[in-house]
Amino acid sequence: MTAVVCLIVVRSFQPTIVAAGVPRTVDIMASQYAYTPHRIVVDPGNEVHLRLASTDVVHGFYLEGHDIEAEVRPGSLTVWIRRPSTGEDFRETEEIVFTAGRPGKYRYRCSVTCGTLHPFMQGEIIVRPNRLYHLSLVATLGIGFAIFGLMMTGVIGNRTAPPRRIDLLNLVPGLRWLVTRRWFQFAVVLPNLLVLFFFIIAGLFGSPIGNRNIIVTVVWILWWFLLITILVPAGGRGWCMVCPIPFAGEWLSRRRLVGVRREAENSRSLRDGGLNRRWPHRLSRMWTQNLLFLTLCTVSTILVTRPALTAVILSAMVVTAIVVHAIFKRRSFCRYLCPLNAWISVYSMAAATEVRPRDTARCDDCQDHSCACGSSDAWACPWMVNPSKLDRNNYCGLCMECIKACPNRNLTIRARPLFSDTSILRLDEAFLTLIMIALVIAYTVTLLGPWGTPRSWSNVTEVGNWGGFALHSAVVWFAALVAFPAMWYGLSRLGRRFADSPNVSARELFIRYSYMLVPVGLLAWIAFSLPLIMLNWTHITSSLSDPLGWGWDLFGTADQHWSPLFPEWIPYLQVPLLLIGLTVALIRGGAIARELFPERSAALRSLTPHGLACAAITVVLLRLFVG
Amino acid sequence: MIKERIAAILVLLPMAAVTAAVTWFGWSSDRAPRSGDTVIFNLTGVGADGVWTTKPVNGLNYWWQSFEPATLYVTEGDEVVINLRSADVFHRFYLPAFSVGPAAIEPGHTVTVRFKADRHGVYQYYCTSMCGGCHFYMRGWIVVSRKGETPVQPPPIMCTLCRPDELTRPDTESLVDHGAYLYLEKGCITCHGPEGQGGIANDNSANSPVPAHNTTAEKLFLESPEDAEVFIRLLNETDDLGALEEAPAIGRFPVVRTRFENAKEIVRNGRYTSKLDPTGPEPPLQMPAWQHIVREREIDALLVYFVSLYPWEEG
Repeated sequence: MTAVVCLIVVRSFQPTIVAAGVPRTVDIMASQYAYTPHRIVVDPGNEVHLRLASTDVVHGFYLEGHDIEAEVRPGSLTVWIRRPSTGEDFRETEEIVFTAGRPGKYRYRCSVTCGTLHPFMQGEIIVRPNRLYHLSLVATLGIGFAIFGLMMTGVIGNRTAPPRRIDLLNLVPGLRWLVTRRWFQFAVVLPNLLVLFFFIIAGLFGSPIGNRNIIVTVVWILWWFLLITILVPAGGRGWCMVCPIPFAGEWLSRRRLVGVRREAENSRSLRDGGLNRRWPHRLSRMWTQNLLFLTLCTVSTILVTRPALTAVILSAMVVTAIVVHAIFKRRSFCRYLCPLNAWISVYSMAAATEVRPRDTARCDDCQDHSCACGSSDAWACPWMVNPSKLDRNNYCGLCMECIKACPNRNLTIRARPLFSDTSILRLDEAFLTLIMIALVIAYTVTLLGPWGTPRSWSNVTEVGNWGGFALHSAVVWFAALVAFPAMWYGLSRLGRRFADSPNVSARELFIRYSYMLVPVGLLAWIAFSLPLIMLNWTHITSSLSDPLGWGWDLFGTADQHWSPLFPEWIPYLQVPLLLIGLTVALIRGGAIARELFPERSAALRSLTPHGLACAAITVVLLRLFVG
Repeated sequence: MIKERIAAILVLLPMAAVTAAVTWFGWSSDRAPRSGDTVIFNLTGVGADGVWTTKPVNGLNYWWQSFEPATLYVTEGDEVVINLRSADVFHRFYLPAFSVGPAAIEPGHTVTVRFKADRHGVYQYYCTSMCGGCHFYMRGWIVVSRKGETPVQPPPIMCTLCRPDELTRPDTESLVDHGAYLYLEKGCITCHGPEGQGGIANDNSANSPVPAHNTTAEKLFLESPEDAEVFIRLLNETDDLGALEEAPAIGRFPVVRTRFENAKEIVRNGRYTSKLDPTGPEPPLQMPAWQHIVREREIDALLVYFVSLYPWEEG
């Protein structure tokens, strides 16, 4: 492997042959929702002549990094082109001519709304040699060797004192006052509730075009991006604090928006606030959520492009929450059914904030237990965890009830370094990390890839190819639930054999090392979401002015022309993100290894297979993003 | 309890306000108000059904409803305002009779056109930007009637493609059958008429009506039913007339071949129809270049179908 990488590097840095003025003629056919060919390889300085044709509807052609935007009409042998940086009008011409710029990967995308999957219609031009890709492969290898080397010599990866925490309730004046107000959660949910309500109306009665309907642009571009890049890394389950979906259900069972009514928690009838049954133990692991999330992700191509479907799914979640609140205790819906909870739960372990007891000894002496059981001015923990024993973020919904409840002011919000919780303890949680990796790869292929076939398979309601859709779903499910876990288990067997220690089982390695996939996965999701917003931000601004696609223009941005933000720099952001993920994974993996094995070399030996797997996942993602 | 009441009002009041606002806006833009002699229509282009419809197209009904082409009824002398939208892809609205358009209708943008319906009659409006399989059927009528007169009701132009019972891909090898199928599937029929009979008017075209196709045999210099039959059989057997080892039993075969190649060239590259009156509107119907949409063999099939349409019994 090292030899191969060295060879790539040597070849990549041979003096580049600048093929100045050498003409290359390429015919590109555009059809919903891909270009043929989907990949063109040229040399720097090549004079590229593109002849573009469409086989169905009007398509665009925006070549990033080369200041070219074109429109191609079916039934016409000419194209209309312009330089978008000048804002000039389109002019008719026979072919698109440009000189290939600096080496790298450039994508060409559709710039005219051409149907449901329009935002994902793209192809790629590689100007050889693709140095960024080659360098990133070297860096992957380098990071691997460097971290293993440092751990071997004991520079990093020793068991150290737990990292510092900063008590935010002490530090930020007024914060304790704010979060202990009874109206606090109501106040932060209310705006989201109204927005959700409006979005559902927009989804059902607004324009059927995804990129012109606010429910799609704000939920699937803006919210998704903010959730992945900011909310989860900074606030963990902060979204659960402000989420409007269980609002109606919780209101009906509590009969209070602000205050506390303790009787509601012991109610046994619907008239009095619900049956308050215990959630069935058999369904209390995250398997339900894992499967629901996987199901949702299987139809996600349709979901994120159809306003009505998004509205229906969100409404269905609201209704399900009402039903579950009527029958089961507290926030059973959020904890055991919400598909998104799966995603947030595992990645909230990485978050920079946590709710924890200040002094656990004090909690051990405490006879009060208001945090878990409620008090006269706080609800019993809606998430059914014991706040006094909190040591991971996974199931704490940040509702702030325990902080209000604790008579000793012993519960607090703390800031901490990213990726501080490192203990994955259950098989269902371990599976989730693997599912997330399978999904980010699947999404990158269907939504950000240049290939038309998997994209059309996933777009079944329009294309009608149910066989293709079945194949697509089968591949995703098989990878997520069988292939990846089997591979991970195989590596665990290998790691156990390498470590040669009878005290640690392969199952334990499988579960504990799956934490390494949290940083790898989270950073991969960030790298995946970055282009969504950089490319499509104008869809957000224009639909803010015209949320239902009814021809309004509230802020004067409704007719804004689609113009991506520095699209040619996206690969340069994605590479460092993926490499950071790998670095954190290896360092945290080393720390976990040292917890499992007292002896350093055994620990490192056991880590090697999973470390290599993380590097391999990084390489696959690098290939998809920048290769 | 006062706090609870305030909170409940804070939840319900804005919800009611949002609902009311959206309903009001929806209602006021969906109806076609008459102020004086002004008539307002909202037309939404739906490429999937090949129609311009006056019904509101929204996230919900787009997925299960199929829309019908709108016939617009106005009275002579009316000021007509049409708000144009697209529910899916790029369309162009063109009403040559009143020199309206062609107006580019991008998805998500509303374009308003206006004109005075100063002549009575029945006129056609079109989509003139290819917008998918049903594009050529995407046209409708505007009926301008005299005051007090009962307006005529032209039959709506329906897309053959969207009625799958009437259009099934033939399971024979016969090129003629495939040609007949393609003639409907690709929408050739909308301009060249049923069974290639032509006669479809093309506003201000130097070449109106649109050329018929049942005379193709004659144009290819196939001078007898026997010649035509041999030619059809020949093309069923080969896709390259230039590679024949011996000349077929067709009189003037080299000429036939050249004419055939020329005809294919027109289908491949399209043909621009020039204006009859240079100052008048652009002719709405233009022959597109089909080379990227239909295969070579499909062009053969279409032309063979045209040859088969020739009414020989008269000669």
